[in-house]
Amino acid sequence: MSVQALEVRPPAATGRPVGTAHQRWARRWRQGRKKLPTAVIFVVVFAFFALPLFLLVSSAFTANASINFQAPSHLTLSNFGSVLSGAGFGQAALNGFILSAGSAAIALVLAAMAAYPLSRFRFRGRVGFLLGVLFVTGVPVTALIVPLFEFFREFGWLDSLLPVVLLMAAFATPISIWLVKTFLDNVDPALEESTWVDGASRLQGYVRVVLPLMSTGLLVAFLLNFIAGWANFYVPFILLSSADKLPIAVTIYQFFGSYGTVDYGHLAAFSILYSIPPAILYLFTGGRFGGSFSTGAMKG
Amino acid sequence: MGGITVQRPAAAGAGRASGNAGAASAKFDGKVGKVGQSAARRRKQRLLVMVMLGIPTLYMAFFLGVPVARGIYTSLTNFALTGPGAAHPQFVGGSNYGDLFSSSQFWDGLKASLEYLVGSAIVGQVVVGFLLAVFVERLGKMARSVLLSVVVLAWIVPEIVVAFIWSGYLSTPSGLANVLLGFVGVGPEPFLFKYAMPSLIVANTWRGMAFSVLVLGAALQAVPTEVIESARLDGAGEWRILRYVKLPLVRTAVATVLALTTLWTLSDFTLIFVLTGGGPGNSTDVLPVYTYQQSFSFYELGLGTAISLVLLVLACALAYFYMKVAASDLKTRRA
Repeated sequence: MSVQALEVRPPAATGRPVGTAHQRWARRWRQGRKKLPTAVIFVVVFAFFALPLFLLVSSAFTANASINFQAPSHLTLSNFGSVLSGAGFGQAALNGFILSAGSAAIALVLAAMAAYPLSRFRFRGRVGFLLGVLFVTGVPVTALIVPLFEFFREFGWLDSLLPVVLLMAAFATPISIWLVKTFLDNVDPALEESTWVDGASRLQGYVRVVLPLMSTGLLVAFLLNFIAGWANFYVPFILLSSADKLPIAVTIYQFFGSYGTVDYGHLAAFSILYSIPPAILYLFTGGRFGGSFSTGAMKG
Repeated sequence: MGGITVQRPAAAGAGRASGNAGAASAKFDGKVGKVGQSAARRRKQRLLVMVMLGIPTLYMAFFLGVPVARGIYTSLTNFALTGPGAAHPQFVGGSNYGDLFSSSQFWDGLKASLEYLVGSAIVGQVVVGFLLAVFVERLGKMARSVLLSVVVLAWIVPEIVVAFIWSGYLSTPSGLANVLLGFVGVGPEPFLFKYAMPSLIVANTWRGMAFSVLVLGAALQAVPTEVIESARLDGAGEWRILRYVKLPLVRTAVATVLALTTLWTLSDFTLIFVLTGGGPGNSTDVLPVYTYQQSFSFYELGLGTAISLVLLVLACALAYFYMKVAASDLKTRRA
């Protein structure tokens, strides 16, 4: 069969070079020149994005690296070792985990509640509610931080973890409602209707049948909120102050804000350890930060 | 809250957002009328809707609405963390706003915010981001994934880390950027002092580019190839195809990216706070940083709240724009 295929193929399609060696070189040069601008742009863009990242990695593996760049002469793990053994890293990681996981979980529960009527019923004010959710999604925490600080002060909530978890959950709720509602829209209502026949209530059908079916979507929503919470610097920076309550984002700042210029290698290692969880979790979300969330904000 | 109706399966199919609306409605057609509508049942459902929407709404209202309402009041007092305003805040009417609008620092801050917004959100992330998305689309598979992975990596790194990366990268006299410039005989330049705002714009563009490239790239890929082919047969060149065929078709995605990046950029604090702290002078004192300084460095909470609320009004205008864009996007997807 392969022989036959070869026989039918027209001679030009064999890809055999035509012409003298000189003509071939000339052609290759012309084709290459056409690709040259693309190659140049590629290198420039790649360098623009890669060089700062390279600086981070290179400093992290260089002993006594400072902000005055030096090509690493030999690689060392000592920066990572001293970060991990240093006091406070574990506590800061735990605090960061409590803030991001706690707020993501609460937001998900609230979102699962609101998403159900929004997806399954038609009622007056439904569209208005959805638009309101979209609107609140866009309201940035930066613009509310001073009123929130006063609010927290009044309640005696400054410097305590739980209220900050609850607050971060409130900010993560609108986008979560939007996400969960979108997932729910794609689940066939017939599946829950079959449970009503068994005498189960609507709510039971939703919790026992539909939510488990959506578990992948719910996990993605949780992870996206977790990543955003993990990266949140401003809210804990303003509302928390004791060293044993600060998440990594703030610890890095406090620890290195004044020493960063001196001990850049240490700072870089700290930063890389801090950045690994969101990078891994991002892979789990299947890169859904971008494309499928063109409607609906992430990061914020 | 009168007319709550059960969403009929047939309507459900038609109302399904995105994607497979057609297939879904066909699937549900046979089930119309299965659900009864007795008065008792309607009442129960109305209660269900109110409880399930009410709890999340009250939760958000408590944490977002109450502080804003109180903030509006605080901004009308001389409340401060220290001094006479701390013990007995007095109602001072619009005087915080008067002070604010007559202070040159506020206008410097507004100007810095606008420069940062236009430079890094509109030009950097939307315009350059669009061109980069077009460029990425033309690359081979391998080159594309190599380029996208560094772009996305820059985005995944938490903001505070981005700030520390760039403070090292741009440092004087021998940060990596200056070392590289030294090879071509330029510099060293004290970027963060001499070119503070341009440096911030570049750093924020570096950080935010992935979002626009991913969203716009996805939109560009969704443009049907037949449309492009027929334009090409009509003799349109690459530039004309881009300008008159592709751009109109990805308009909604561009508007979404524009709305979100301007919103995020306007409210950005961390990068500027760490890299320049608002300086030199007030040249990069964007509104969030200015708010922070007044409230938590000078403890002028009344004034700080007033700046906050100005920022909130601007953000709400952008959020409103985003809401409109997203809503129209949904409508077109359903149609």
